[in-house]
Amino acid sequence: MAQGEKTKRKIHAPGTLVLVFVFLAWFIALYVLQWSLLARGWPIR
Amino acid sequence: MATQTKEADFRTCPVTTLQVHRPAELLITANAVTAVVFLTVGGILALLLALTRWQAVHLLPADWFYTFLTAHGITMLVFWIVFFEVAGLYFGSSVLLNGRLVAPKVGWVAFGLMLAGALLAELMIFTGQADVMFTAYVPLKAHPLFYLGIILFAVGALVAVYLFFASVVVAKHERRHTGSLPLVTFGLVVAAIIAAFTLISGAITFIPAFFWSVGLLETYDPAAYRLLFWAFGHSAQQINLAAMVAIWYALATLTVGATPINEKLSRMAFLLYILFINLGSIHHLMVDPGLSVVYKITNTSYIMYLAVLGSMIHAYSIPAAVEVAQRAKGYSKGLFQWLWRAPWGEPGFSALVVSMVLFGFLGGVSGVIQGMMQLNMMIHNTIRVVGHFHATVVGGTTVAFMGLTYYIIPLIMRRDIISKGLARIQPYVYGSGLFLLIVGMMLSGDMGVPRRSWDIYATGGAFTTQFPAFTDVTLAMLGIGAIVAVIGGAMFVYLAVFSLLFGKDLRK
Amino acid sequence: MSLAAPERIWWKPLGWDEKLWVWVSLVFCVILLSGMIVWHVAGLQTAPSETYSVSVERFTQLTDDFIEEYKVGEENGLPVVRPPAGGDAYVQASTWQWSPILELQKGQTYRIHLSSKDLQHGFSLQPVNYNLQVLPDYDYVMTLTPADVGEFTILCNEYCGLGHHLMVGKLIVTE
Repeated sequence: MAQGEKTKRKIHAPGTLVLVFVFLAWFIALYVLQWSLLARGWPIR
Repeated sequence: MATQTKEADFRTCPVTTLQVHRPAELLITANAVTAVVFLTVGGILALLLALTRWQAVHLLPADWFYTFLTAHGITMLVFWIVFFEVAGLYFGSSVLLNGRLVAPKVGWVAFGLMLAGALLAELMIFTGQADVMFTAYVPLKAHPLFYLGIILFAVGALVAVYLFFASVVVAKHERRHTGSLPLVTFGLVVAAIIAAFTLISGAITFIPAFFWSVGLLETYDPAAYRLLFWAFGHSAQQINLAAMVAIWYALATLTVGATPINEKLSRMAFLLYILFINLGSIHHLMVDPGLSVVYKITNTSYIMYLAVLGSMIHAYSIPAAVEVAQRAKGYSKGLFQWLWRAPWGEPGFSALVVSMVLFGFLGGVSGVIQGMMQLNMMIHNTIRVVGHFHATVVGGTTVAFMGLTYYIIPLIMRRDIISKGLARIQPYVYGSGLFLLIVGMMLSGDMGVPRRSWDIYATGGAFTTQFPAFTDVTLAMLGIGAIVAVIGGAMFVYLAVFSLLFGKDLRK
Repeated sequence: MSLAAPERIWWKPLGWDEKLWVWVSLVFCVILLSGMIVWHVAGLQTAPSETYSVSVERFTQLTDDFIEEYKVGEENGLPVVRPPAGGDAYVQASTWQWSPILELQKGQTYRIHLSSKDLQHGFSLQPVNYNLQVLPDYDYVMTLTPADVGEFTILCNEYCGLGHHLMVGKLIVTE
């Protein structure tokens, strides 16, 4: 249990945490870009 | 029981101390070598096709282009990948579990069925009797033997999957392996479960198609075919995904000794794949008639992007495992010393990184975005789709498989890699070529360039078409990228084949 | 070690950073799903879903009747047809042509019926870059409001035999 408490607070991989947020930012950027391209399209349904 | 484990059938791997089952070893070699042969054929076709799509070069005549495109798709997406996966499954169920492949004869039957099916399908394609593309959408008709070839292959692969499950169960039963399955084998179990669904879907799709092609079935509803086909065609790529992630974990362990930071987390992520990933088959039907909006949105989003959640978890968990292992070795300065000091010259490690970057940043992201119902209108059937799956299946899966091969050859086939220098640069050459190819395809597709078209300008048609001038640049990127990637691919085939034939025998 | 059995008890609590990433990812997944739903309800561009079952003979008849009623000219052997604003229009795909050529008015809304006479085809309106699958036996209706004036090409982007790359049609939008 004590060990479990300890692992809860520790950051295992700070570098990786930065990398995955860079990835998320890239993901969001492309996602927003694609929707903004669609928003310029002709109305269709 | 007649099938008692015979100790004489085993040898001990001097590096890993794993018990290697000799009959399994033979089957692994046979399947892996066959896979590489298909990769070579598919790679040659890839070069010819890319140099045709690069409109400034426009190499092949139209009929050859469509024939070769059909051959390239099936050879790469099905034959290369599945043969290699079968080798991987046998490896994960016997070698990694210290166990035996329960029925090697059944393994050879599976191999024979798959090879016969593959050769039959290739024969039909190359003789011009099945110019129907990988998808073979009805009512476009191929020669009946084409469908029969695919069916034979699927049945053979299904037998191999069965053999995998049986071997896992027996290894536990015979107590050659105790405790939970290794994470890599767990990932392969996930891949095999998805494979069972995939191959059964394939049979359900192609058996009626066969009857239809010989005239025993009058009609085959095109929309129903598409729904059934993609349960096979897309799910087949999810086998690749699960197998690739399993191999990522394996490569992280083999190259830097990484241990998953939390087995629970990684296994839950794999579980999300089993439960949700096959709903993604609907990505191909976003702009199809006949399906309701609720049906489309529910499926295309994997209920709530829960399969994507699985991938996001692996995207964290694998680099984190590498980071923790590297920090334990003393590379703990700042945020990224662990990364700078990683074994970048080790082909297994560079393949891992190239595979994760191409798969994640290009393949995964583009796949989720173009699978959105509305966004798909701007992407469906453009060459952007082709860019997406080259990022996932080639940049991701194939690169990971190549990385693993650099370990299978010395550890299983007991041969030294003949040119370590070449192996060191191969993943970079292949990866950079692919990067150009993929980005070229994606940008072209965003400008409306169709997939599967010999001439995008429709010279000689009722009207000619116009595309932004920038497509000249992006299609050139596609062509140049393909040339570089094929050079990288040829380096891999050379290394694999020549190491196997002429590499230093490590048994001595 | 991912290649060997893990320690006996591996069901352990997640670290702080793992939890953070899982929650951020989960929230992102919910956003991805809601984006699609919100856009379908409130957005101007969404994938058409109106479909009817139709035989090839019936759709050919509908297209022929439509051409006969509203034909205004001919170009490269293909009829040019001007449907009434707000009305129904028919475009039939066959190897290897799109017929007829539609002449639409900018800002008006049309119900355009798409179907195929033979194989599967891909309706690809360029450079608007809208792409829809066209199947025989299915009448796929898109409700479209052209927002730009000019001549647009309709290519086929689903492989349909040797002349596939020659299959080009046209759509004209006037003021």
